[in-house]
Amino acid sequence: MLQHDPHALQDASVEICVPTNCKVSIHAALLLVSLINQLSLRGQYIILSFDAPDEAYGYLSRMGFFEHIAPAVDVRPERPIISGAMVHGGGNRELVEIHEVPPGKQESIRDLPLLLAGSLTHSLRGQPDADTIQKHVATVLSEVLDNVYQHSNTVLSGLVALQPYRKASQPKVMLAISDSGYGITRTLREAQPDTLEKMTEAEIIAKVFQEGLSRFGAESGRGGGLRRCAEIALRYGADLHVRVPTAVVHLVPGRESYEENMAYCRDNAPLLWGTHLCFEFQLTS
Amino acid sequence: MKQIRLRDYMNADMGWGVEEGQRVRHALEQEIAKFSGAVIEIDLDKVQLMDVSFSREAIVETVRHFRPGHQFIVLNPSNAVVVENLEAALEKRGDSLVLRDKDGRPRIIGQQLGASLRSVFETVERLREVTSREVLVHLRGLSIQNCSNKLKELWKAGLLIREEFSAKSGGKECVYRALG
Repeated sequence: MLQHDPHALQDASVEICVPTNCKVSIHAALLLVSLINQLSLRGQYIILSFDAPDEAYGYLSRMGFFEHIAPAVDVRPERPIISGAMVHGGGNRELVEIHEVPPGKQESIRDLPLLLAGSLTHSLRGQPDADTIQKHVATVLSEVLDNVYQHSNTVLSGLVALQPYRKASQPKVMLAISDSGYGITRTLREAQPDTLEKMTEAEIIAKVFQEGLSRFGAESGRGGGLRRCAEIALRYGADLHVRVPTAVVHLVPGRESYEENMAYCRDNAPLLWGTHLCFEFQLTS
Repeated sequence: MKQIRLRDYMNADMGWGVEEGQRVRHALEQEIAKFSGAVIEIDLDKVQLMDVSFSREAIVETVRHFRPGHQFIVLNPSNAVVVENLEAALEKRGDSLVLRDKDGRPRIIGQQLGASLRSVFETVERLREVTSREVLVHLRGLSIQNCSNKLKELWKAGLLIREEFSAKSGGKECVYRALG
């Protein structure tokens, strides 16, 4: 919930209220960090309110949420004195902390795809194809991480997180990645205005995953990375959640591809820069 | 024949991303340019994983750069996902490569051959070294010109080795050899 605080000392302030004990997915957490940091970069005063240090507060602390929001953000009642992520740091097998994707420093995260995929070892124990699953997850991670470096062109760091849900009735792994760039659909529309002008956001996103669209054009041979991500996601029956600057798209797996007629789309969403992806890999065959 | 161990050119066990792929490609191109022979083996041993972007930049674009003068064969993939991702990169480009698994069996990955080209390719694989006339002995329904064209097409696609020699008739004849 966003509220403008008319009584705040600063001219433009935003208060984000997290409801008591609300459940926060890693996708939502990364969206929130992105929103907060984008607003803060614009000079807005941000208040992030919790009724109490409750379950949501604790969960966000353990994933390192508070380390990744801008230091100027006013967290109420207070920021954690000791970060839950620093305490548990890699030792929490059920939650992998948020990792930063720093702009211009791709070499610093060279090992990140295998590291994150390797963290699933415990969650995948007993699965006969655990090694293959990890390599598929590492492939998706590397492709979407590389896209952040190739296309996002922003001073704000990207973010990535991985969450296994072993004990759920349908065991799954959620992989979320966010950047604060221009957004994949806007980038493509600018590069291919004639081809994409009449297409909706959902149609473009479906086409990206079906055919591998690239802003460099078909002749470049590029765009195969996201198409491969979709192949892998289909193999695991994954829903895809895509947030672009003014649209929210939810793609449901078809038999062989992600089709726009099986997508849920909301246009005219509040502006949130960047491309924010979430894959929900189902672990049962 | 020249063998290149891809892992020697990579910064980590996993190759990923466009820039790392391009860096590796430039290093490979410099190394291959020194070699005057025809066949390059790219050994994938110890490469734990490559994503599609890296596979495209490091391997597919390198191969495209040197074809049809050089032929390439990829060896010893350490797992199936390495092959899947390389195949995805090849298919996006419409290219093919000969792969030899650790069990020694060669196969084509990437863009697959149509039925008639496949028949010619498999005949050469079986006989190991052939002329057009020799292929015709084993394949019915092809003219000598058609057969020559298909062999040339397979050579241009980088799937066969070709050598020219002077025939007794005084003209030029080509011998095609299997890669795998």
